[in-house]
Amino acid sequence: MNNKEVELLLVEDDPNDVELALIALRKHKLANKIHVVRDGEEALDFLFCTGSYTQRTFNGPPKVILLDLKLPKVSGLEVLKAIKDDPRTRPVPVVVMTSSREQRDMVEGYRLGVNSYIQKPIDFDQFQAIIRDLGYYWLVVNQCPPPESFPG
Amino acid sequence: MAVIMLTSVAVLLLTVVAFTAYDLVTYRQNLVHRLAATAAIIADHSGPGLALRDEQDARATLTSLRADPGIAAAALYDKRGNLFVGYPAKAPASAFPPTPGNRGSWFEGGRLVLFEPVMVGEERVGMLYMKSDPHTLYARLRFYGGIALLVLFGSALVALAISNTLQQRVTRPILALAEVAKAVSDRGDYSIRARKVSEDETGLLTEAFNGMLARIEEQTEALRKDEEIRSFLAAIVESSEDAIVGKDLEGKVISWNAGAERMFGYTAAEMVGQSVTRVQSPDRPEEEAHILEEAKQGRTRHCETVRVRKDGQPLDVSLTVSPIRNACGDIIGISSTARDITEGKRAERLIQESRARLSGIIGSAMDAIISVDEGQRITIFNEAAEKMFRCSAVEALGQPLDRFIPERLRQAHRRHVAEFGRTGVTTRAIRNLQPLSGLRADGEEFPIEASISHNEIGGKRVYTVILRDITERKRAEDQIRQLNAELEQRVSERTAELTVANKELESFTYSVAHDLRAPLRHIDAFSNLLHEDFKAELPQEAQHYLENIRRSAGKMSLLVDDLLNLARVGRQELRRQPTPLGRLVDEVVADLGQETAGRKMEWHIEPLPAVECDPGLMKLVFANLLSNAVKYTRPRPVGVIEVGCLKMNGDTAVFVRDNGVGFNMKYADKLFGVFQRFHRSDEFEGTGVGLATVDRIVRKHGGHIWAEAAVDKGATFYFTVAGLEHGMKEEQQHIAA
Repeated sequence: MNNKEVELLLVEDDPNDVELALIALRKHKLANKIHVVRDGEEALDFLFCTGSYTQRTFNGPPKVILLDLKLPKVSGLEVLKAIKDDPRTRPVPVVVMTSSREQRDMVEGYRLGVNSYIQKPIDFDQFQAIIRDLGYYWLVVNQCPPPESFPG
Repeated sequence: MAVIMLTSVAVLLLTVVAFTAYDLVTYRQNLVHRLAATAAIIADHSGPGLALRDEQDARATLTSLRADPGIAAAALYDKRGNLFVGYPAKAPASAFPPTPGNRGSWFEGGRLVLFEPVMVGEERVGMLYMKSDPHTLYARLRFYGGIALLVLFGSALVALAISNTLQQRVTRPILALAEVAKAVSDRGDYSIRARKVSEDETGLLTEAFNGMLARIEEQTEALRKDEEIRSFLAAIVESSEDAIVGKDLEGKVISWNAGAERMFGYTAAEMVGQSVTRVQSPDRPEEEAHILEEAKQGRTRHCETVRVRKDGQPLDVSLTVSPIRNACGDIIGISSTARDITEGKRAERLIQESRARLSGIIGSAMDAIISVDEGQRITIFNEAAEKMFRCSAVEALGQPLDRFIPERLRQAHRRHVAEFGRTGVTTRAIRNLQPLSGLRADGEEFPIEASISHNEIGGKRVYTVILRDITERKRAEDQIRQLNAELEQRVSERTAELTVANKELESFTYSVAHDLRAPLRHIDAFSNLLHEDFKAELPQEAQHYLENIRRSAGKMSLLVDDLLNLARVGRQELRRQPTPLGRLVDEVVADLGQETAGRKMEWHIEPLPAVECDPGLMKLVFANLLSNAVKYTRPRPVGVIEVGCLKMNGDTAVFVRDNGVGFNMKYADKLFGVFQRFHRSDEFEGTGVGLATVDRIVRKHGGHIWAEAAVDKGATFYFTVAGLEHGMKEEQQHIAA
């Protein structure tokens, strides 16, 4: 599993949200190569092959990272900063998905280089639609940078 | 000159003629006497010869006549009258008369002829004839004529010389004098002087003439000066601001200057010849008569009185009336000079009033007012001072100010006053003179506040201090200071508490934003999944419950969003920037498209100005007001919504008006409270937070909001924002341009 190709990294601490996201993705047959981490620290371990992920080889970064902002230990924005600060992970598209309506979070996110910022709608139908569009767009439509472009 | 010559020649001629005539007469008489004497001698000598007829003797006697060349001829006749002997002997007988004439002598053709009887004893023996030679006479005449000619010639020469000299001495100066006189009369120049050339009468004349000219010149100069002084005086009189009036002894105006014209309003033409009583005040009818009477007695009078102008306006004047005397000292008229002192009187009254007011102020002042002279002696001591220092004015006046200054401060006070006097500043508060204290008559010291001023009155420096007993105030100040300190302490405690509370609130709202919304989403999501995935297995009722759960979740989500907005408004700093309000309205109207879809709406949106505001929050204001308007016009076939800007009660306000269901103004005070709703939620959905948010935003922008409405008559919301008025003016200018 450690070396399995991961297309979508979901960083989300709330199990309900994880489940709903997975349901939505599954419904649209997008749930294949998904990896879920439950806090910011784990996310960084996974991406930089550290901590419990030391066995993982670095090559083959996810096509997209879905990042919640309110995370235990290391916050979403800190994770985002670490991703965008490191040349190895900088090309990976990051989509922030949050329940927060704080404008300053959004502004800060874009400042740190987030590729997309989405507010989770209350209405589940709308939520499903967003997950669907998002999955299609980043996993199917969007052209990811080739693996060669990731240094080290 | 000719006159002189003629005169002298005539005089000379006359003299010569007279002299000659006299001489001739004398000569003839002498000749007669001499001839008679000679004849007598000859006759005597020739008597015997004749008597004897001795011719020789007779001839010898006659020949002795040779000694007298003046005898031209002589002859002796005998008794019978025949010529006996003649002389000169060679003369023919015809040269002698043939017969002797009678005894006597006479002149014949310029010659004296003489007959003398020749006697011997008593007997006449013959006659002697003698004839004088006229040549002597002629010679004598010629001689005289020559002398006369010589004298004439000489005297003519002398006269010529004399007249020449005289001309030099007399005529020329006189001629010069005449020329000068002509020049003087021709030119009227009396400064010309004749030149004095000699010390004689001409010189005197010249001097006299010059003296006369000098006097004439002096008098002319004096006259000219007189004239100058006259015109000068006339100009003074004319240009005087004072009314200068000349009157005769009956009080009739003779002269009326420009000052009088201005002062009384009558022209000189109107007044000259008229009685001066025309300007007399009717309530002083006898005044002018008195004035005249006094002036007639030679007295000059100064007085202040009232006169009346032509327009009836009374005039306060200061009057000087004095008699006018002629050269002999007789009073021939009266001059009166009037000065308008209406202004002065008014000023005097004002001064009196202001003095009264001032003393009223000083007397009633709450502060002690004390004036001191240069010697620091008290000259004013008002009632407040009496109370403050517990000393009556009677006691205080004339006393040194030191009496009311604590001893330890007297030195410093004196120094301060002296320094202040030197600064030239006329007022100054001496609050900074530390510590400032007064000394009551009973010895109590008390804190005072003072301001000092000085001015020069009649050349003497007067200092005035205004003192305030600040015992009470100091106490109050101390109290206030203490209270303030306590208050500050409390405030800082409260502020710290508030900061903590704010922090908590902030994290609370953040939690609400995140944590409260998440479960809601989950409720919605899972009930949705349940409904979708197990629809077939769920009874109808269970499906209905699920629906209710979902609706409640949605409602709560709205509520949370609104509450978040409200909290954010309170917490957030305003990010002001120039924002065109019209643009915000357009954006909001566009956002409302979904809600108005399918409805008939009329939008009347007037141009709105740009103001300095937080665009995000201001948009929230319009979003709330306009969505309300859309919501509450829903029952109307056509929803009419107006947005504009107007002046109202001196405020410039933006308004949003609708033709919706309105509300009862009875509840207007609750309108902007949180969770206040005027409609049931099954009529109109809502959280009751929107208007509270709007109110908070408007207030944060320095404005206020209010509403007018009536049930079923629509509602209008007005709000102001700082800078709106200015923005509106610019907008109007822009539109006008």
